[in-house]
Amino acid sequence: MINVSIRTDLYYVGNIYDLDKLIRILRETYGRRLQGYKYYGGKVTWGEINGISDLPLSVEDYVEPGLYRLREGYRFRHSSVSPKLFLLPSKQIYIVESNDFSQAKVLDYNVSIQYVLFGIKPCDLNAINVLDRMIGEKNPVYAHRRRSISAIIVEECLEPNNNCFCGVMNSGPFVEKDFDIAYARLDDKRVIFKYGSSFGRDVLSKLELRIAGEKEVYEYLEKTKLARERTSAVFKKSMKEIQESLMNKARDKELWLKISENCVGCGNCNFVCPTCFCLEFDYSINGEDQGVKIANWTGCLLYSYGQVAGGHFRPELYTRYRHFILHKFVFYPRQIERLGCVGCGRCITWCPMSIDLRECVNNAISG
Amino acid sequence: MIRVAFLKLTSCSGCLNQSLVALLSNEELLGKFEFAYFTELGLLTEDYFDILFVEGSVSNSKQEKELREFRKKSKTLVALGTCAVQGGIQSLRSGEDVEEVKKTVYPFPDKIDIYSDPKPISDVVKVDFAITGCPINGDAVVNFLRKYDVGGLPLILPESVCCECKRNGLTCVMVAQGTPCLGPVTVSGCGALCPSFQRGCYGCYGLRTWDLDKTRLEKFFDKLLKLGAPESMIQVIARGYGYRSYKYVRRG
Amino acid sequence: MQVVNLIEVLKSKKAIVVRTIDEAPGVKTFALKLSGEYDIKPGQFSMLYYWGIGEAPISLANLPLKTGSSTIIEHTVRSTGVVTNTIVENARIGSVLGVRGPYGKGWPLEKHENMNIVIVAGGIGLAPLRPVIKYIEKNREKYKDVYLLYGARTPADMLYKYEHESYSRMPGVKVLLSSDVRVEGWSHHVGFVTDLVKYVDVRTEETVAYVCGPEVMMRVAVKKLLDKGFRKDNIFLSLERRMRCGVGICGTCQFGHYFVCRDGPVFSYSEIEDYLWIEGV
Ligand SMILES: Cc1cc2nc3c(=O)[nH]c(=O)nc-3n(C[C@H](O)[C@H](O)[C@H](O)COP(=O)(O)OP(=O)(O)OC[C@H]3O[C@@H](n4cnc5c(N)ncnc54)[C@H](O)[C@@H]3O)c2cc1C
Ligand code: SF4
Ligand code: SF4
Ligand code: SF4
Ligand code: SF4
Ligand code: SF4
Ligand code: FES
Repeated sequence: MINVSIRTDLYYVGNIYDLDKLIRILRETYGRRLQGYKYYGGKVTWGEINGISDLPLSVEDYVEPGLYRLREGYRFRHSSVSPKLFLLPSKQIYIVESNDFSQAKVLDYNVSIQYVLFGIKPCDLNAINVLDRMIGEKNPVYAHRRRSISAIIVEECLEPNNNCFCGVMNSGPFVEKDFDIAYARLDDKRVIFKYGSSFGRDVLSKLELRIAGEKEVYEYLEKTKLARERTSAVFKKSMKEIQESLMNKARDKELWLKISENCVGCGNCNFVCPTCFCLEFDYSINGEDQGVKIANWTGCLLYSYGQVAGGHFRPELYTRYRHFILHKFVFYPRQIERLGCVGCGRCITWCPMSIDLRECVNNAISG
Repeated sequence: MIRVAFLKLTSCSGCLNQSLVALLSNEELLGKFEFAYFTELGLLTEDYFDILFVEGSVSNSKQEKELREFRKKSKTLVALGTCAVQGGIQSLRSGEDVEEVKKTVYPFPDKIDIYSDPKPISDVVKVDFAITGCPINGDAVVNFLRKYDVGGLPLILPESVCCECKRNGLTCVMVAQGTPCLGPVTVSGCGALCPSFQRGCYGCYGLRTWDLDKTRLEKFFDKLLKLGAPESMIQVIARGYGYRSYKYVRRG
Repeated sequence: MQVVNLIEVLKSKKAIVVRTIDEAPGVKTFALKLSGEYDIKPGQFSMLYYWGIGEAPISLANLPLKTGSSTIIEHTVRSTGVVTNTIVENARIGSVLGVRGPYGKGWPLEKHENMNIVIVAGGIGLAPLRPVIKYIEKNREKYKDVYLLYGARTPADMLYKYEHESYSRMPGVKVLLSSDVRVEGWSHHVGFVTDLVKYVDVRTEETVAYVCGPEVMMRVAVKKLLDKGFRKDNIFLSLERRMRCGVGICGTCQFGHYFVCRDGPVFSYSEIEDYLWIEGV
């Protein structure tokens, strides 16, 4: 990854106040609205970014399996939300129909605003790529929201957290394509920028940053390399071997019972996963006597997933846990020709039973 | 007009109140449903009902008889609230010596005629539909009535509270603050009320006993104990909101 | 690329019930009239919507009939849960239901011209195969020998009893029936429908089998057909999974890596060989 001759002209250096400038330029000069990780009330959620004070610049997430603490620092990786919250909202009102089907109305998804995703993570960018392939133009809500995104600005990670394993999933912690601007924080003040599109170059030129010095670029590349290594040493076998092994062992009930023995089927892993897309439909009648079709997030770990009248296609929890892993590692590749897991580690962090996906995969392939 | 009755057994009227508030704020329903029996409102017509909502659990033989009679007069019976569905708060005495319990609570214990273990109403009569919650979410009653009006029933989806918590974009109190929370093993429906106030769920919609076996529930309770949940909390939860599962899960 | 129009994807068309037939306890066939074209093929399904209650995937149960500016389709519904109960109990002539579709891949009938066809159906599984029979009836010269093996729990549970006679009157069509339990006056086979596979007398290399029924039955059928020498890619199954959207966005119908709504519901055995034998995959 580190080239022999470092091209410093691709990188620019500024400080965190340049992020403020960047936000203002995008909002004022380009008339865009920004969506991203938002620091609010001591938490990092998702929302509209209006200025530097909305960014989680002075916090850092400390994580372990089943544990998340936000503390002082400057290395925010992520929280339980992801761009999925914006692209594939947890509740999607599709359609409102009269009882003779003569009238039908679609609710407010004709987004004409141009959004910019600001400060999303490399794993997030890859997760969007997964959703694009999986859902893409098929889900109208997703399609409209996706199209309303006119630019993507990524914050790269120079220090992954304990649960991050994007490296081995080839989804981070840096980006090489499909972004407009990417930046990384060299320390609590200095920020290094690069562009990935002509739009990104135009915007960056307005920031009047200085071109990075050789030492800074070297520092950046060195840290990136370390971060990649740290997030890559995870599995005992190669991805190809993992996939073969998982499929070969799919029928081993005892093995999967063992692997899923601590799981209570709460579904948190599915909900926080930036690439899980499953939806439950809900039908109701509103106060104006109109039938409403709504879709809500669901997930394969829930009992209701696969439950049908007078039966169940996946009654046992182990089959649903197995599907979670098989889907991410084996079925996504068969469906969309890329892995469904981007290694963000959210499912590990936010599992109340501290179940570690990495460990489960390792146990499955060696057990 | 569809005739509706609300019968109260051993309970706190919380579910009745929730239902009432919800009905009054959806006026269009009042044109379609006739409320025939509702003691709190002084409505006492007892002939027959299309829908009978029952709040509370069965504590003695008198209630048992009354419930059976009302069942006979009704087409559809809906269990309203965790007491009716699973036993509820009064099930805390389950497994204790009922005479002892009476003595601690009442000045004249021998005047109190109660079973040692309160019964969920399904132990006594056929239940067509169950709305859980302590108290229930009034919207569930409205939803039920609207669907009943067009000829069907709501679909029950056995989900955890975590689903609503995450859909509402809340930060998990268990993972982010170390607060014990029963959301993962509790039936959804409340909209993750407690976590939205930074508190742990205490399981009032009932334990998800149908898809969790003993070992998993025990593992989960162990996790709560590890987070510092008092043992009494587990007792309260398992007995009050998981009446049936309490018989086999013992922790704390 | 054109963004899909929300209305087009999930809006239901108005369908008026023009005829109902009681098939078996809790099972009814509904003839539905839709205005305009509704180009649905054997093996495909519609999402039937009982307004305000919910939708359920239901297979086409007869060839669509185009009359002037409208199309009449038939769906056979067995009441099992919230939506199907409501439809079976409440829908009568004149009732309005919502229909969206057609969805899924049907039986590859056109590809199988000049072949023998063995139909194996269990219980409600005859519904998606009935349009196959009707299609063959209309295009009899295009197919060679046809077998219909049909079984149900009891004779009373059988669908389309009033037409079985007419099926067997078709030239070159053999109808073999089976009841799981012995019933007074039943002169056909007693046992599982899959027992009937042994009576099929065809050259397997020029024969395809179309199977639909409960999954256990389909697994047994596959085993017996393979034993008989059927090629894996000549056995076709119509699978059932839980379905919400019908159009490949909700993910709940996954079977291995397939979305049953979009990649199926009809699959050749060779496509799903990896998965069919794994419990709950
Ligand atoms: C491709 C396909 C074709 C089918 N064709 C027929 C048919 O011709 N006739 C017939 O009677 N039945 C058919 N079924 C089964 C039928 O769809 C279910 O019995 C029905 O959905 C039950 O819905 P419910 O609302 O009554 O049950 P509930 O379980 O109360 O419904 C909940 C929801 O779950 C989903 N669901 C429930 N059961 C199933 C199921 N078995 N398969 C898929 N989704 C389900 C539906 O979206 C339903 O709205 C078919 C299923 C599939 C997948
Ligand atoms: S979050 Fe953990 S306990 Fe909950 S369903 Fe996922 S793996 Fe199981
Ligand atoms: S499976 Fe877990 S680690 Fe992988 S993308 Fe989903 S949440 Fe992240
Ligand atoms: S892992 Fe489960 S919830 Fe996630 S997309 Fe796959 S099936 Fe859906
Ligand atoms: S998984 Fe990788 S890209 Fe995502 S936050 Fe962690 S280090 Fe960054
Ligand atoms: S706060 Fe409680 S209900 Fe919410 S996700 Fe966490 S454990 Fe589940
Ligand atoms: S039914 Fe929704 S994806 Fe198949």
